[in-house]
Amino acid sequence: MSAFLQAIVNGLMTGGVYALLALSIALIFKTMDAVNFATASMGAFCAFLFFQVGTILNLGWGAGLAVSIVGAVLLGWAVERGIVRPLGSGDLFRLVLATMGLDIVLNNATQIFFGSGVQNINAPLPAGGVAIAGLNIDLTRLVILGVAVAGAIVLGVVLRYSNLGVGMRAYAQDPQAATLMGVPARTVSRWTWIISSLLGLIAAIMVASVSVLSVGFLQGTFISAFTAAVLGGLSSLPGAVAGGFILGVLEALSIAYAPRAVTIALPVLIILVVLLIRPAGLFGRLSASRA
Amino acid sequence: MSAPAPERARPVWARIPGRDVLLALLAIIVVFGISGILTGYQAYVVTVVVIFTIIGASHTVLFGAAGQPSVGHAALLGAGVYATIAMSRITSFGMEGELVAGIVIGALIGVVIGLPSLRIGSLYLAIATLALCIVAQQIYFEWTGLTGGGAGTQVPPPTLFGTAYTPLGLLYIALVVMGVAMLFARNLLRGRQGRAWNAVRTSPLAASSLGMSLGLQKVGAFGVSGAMVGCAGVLYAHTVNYVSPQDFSLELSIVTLVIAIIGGQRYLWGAALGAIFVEGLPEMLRTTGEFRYVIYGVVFVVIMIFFPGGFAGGIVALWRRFGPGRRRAAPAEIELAPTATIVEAELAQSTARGTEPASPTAVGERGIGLSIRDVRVAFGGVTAVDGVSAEIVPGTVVGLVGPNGAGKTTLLNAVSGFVGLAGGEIAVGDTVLRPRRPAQRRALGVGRTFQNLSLHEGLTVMDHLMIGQHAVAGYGSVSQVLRLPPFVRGERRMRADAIETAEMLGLADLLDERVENLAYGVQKRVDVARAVVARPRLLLLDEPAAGLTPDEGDDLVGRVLVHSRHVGATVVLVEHNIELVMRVTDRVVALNFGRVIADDVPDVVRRQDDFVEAYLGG
Repeated sequence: MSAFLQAIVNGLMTGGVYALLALSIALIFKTMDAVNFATASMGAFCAFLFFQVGTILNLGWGAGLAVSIVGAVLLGWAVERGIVRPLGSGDLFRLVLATMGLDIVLNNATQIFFGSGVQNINAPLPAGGVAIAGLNIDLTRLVILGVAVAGAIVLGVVLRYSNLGVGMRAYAQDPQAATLMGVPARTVSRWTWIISSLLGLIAAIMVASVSVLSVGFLQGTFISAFTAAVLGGLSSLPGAVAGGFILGVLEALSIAYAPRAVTIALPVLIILVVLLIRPAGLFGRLSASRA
Repeated sequence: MSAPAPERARPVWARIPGRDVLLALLAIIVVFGISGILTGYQAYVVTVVVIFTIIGASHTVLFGAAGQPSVGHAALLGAGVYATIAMSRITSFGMEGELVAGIVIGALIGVVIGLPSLRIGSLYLAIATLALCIVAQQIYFEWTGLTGGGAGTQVPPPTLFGTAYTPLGLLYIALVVMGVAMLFARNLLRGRQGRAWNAVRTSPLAASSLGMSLGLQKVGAFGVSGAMVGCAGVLYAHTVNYVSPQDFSLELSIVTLVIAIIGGQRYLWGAALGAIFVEGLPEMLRTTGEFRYVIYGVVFVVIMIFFPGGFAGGIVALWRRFGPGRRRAAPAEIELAPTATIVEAELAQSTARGTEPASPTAVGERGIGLSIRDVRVAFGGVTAVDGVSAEIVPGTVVGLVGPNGAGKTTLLNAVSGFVGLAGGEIAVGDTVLRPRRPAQRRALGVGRTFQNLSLHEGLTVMDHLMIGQHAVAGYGSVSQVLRLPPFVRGERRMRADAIETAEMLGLADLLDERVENLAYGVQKRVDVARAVVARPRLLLLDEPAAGLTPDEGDDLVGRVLVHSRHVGATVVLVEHNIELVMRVTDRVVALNFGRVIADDVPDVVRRQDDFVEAYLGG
């Protein structure tokens, strides 16, 4: 019983990161109707900035955070300005393909800038574990879960109460009508990419803190986060969060009880089952154009 | 037959049949010729380019023509590779057996990867193929007996019919295999099958009304694409000698798609350009790893933004603009004629030809009746069609009228099989239609037009007229690939019919125009032409005059009805222009709020109280 509970707790803690990165994917999908295949490489590039400035240049974590946030904002802005806007709103699949190209560029640019080695990170997070009610809780992962939940809540508050959030939701429902009603489409599109990039940065820092920093280190998490987003319906932000936690728990349970092959194939199997049985996911609504 | 289409002066080379094949053959011979001076490494690079050309071309078929994106092609390549290894271990066959195995296994896995396309659209399909690619790679990793797991496995040296081959010899084999694969793909794309894929990509709705089963077309394209990648896998295995499951990654899948798109996914030769750019140039220029990927990643993004047609699309556009056959002045406007004039002219013409209009008995044999029995169609809580019954006699023209929202188009969509029935049944002739099977309708001789146009963007008027004859082509894919006599005869006949229909509808000068460049009124004609060119026995016209000037509407409807009387087809005309309907139909069925409020000859309906009330308000 306690092994079962332990698996659930572990799963919830992994799920937080999935939820964060799934939010980054779902936010783009909600407003742009496209999957950003460069989500992982964008986040990873900015996480490199954070750790390089923080540890290797030895300027302290504050400087690292500042530089990486500026980097993430600039990267989000540049992608929107340089790729998304020139592509226009014609064939959306072209945007998906372009993000695949961007992924190739960023992955290799990361390698050129930061080298192809694997670095262990000494993250500025509390280490060690505490035992609560017979469950072993890793403090680093607990902090990560807290950051993820806080990130999701901040995003939710921003989208619900700011002008920008209202504009984003209107734009997501009908870009043309929203533009005619005075929603500044370019601003919405720009901030969607910037916020998505920031979410990717946070998720990437969190993942690197408990694993290693190397080119492509976020790809595995991306597949899981992507699965979480699909599970939540791709266009639903609460769905992405729920999907993240559900997937985290399912993964932890399969690690505890199922053969290794099942654990490895789990995200992919979930994607296939969801797409074939209920493409709208658990929380999404399917628009006719995507069906 | 009226005057033939004006013959244009074309340069001599343009009149050589199969000149594209000759050109490709020339290119292959040139590579053969220079192969003697290649070093072993250069021969290897050229072989890799040849292999990726085949894989790129498989995307030309699947994505360029059928519109189905796949990021699962690495799994297919792996299937070909491991089929090769299994074949060489189990049997004593050389590449001759391995190619058969690679093609069969590739096609089968291709079909499996394509199955999700039956349920989901292109973006979700890309996601599903991505997932399948990852699953396949995991399977390759776990199947250590065959693949060696993470450590990989050695591929036995290539033999063909008992003879062993050097890397240079392998290049020759690869060139021949590529030539055959490209010819196969080219023959499939040019003709009924390629037109069907293009039709399904550009307008699934229209394609299914023309008798194409969307599922079969899509999954078939996956099978063809898989077979091509499977045979590329055999070459790949022998070229690299040593394969590991790591090779068949998601990245490789994306690279193959990038090759097809950079090269130009509409053109088979674009795949060669893409393969040279992505796989050949960096090797030749000895660019180091990461920079090479950055460069082609950037080129890819730039091409997506500025030249969605890729290299080949750009070259073709330049050729059209500056080449010897550049565009002539825009063709003259279509001359409009009032319906009466058309009818007289048509009669005069047929008398001159010595053919009478079809006699009433012949009409009865050819036209087919439509029975609508207590049909109900509901969308959620709204009942759009509520117990409609109507009997449409073979060979008659029946007007279906009613105010907006009366259920006319919904009824037509139910007949076409686009919407399901909540009750009742519909029969064409003696056959009760199965709901939601639009492709079944065309086989029974039902054709239809679309109120909001459902044209195939990027295709010419001639293409539309050929697509319209999909169900009556009279040849199958085998005939098409091998260019057998049924194919040649069928194409010739369809082309003649297409020109005849174009002349009837005043489109003869516009056959080579792409539909998106035409005025709305002309597009409407193309939509109608596509439906009538295969001589349907029951023609459903969905507001053919909507959006046209009264003269244009008169002209179009007049021409179509004369033609239908001629070939003896039954016509159901949905139209808002009441005067037009009353003038040209034998019978009028009026709907309001999903129910029949009048069903009689035009003169009686015109005076009926509730009909007048529905139209003029009450």
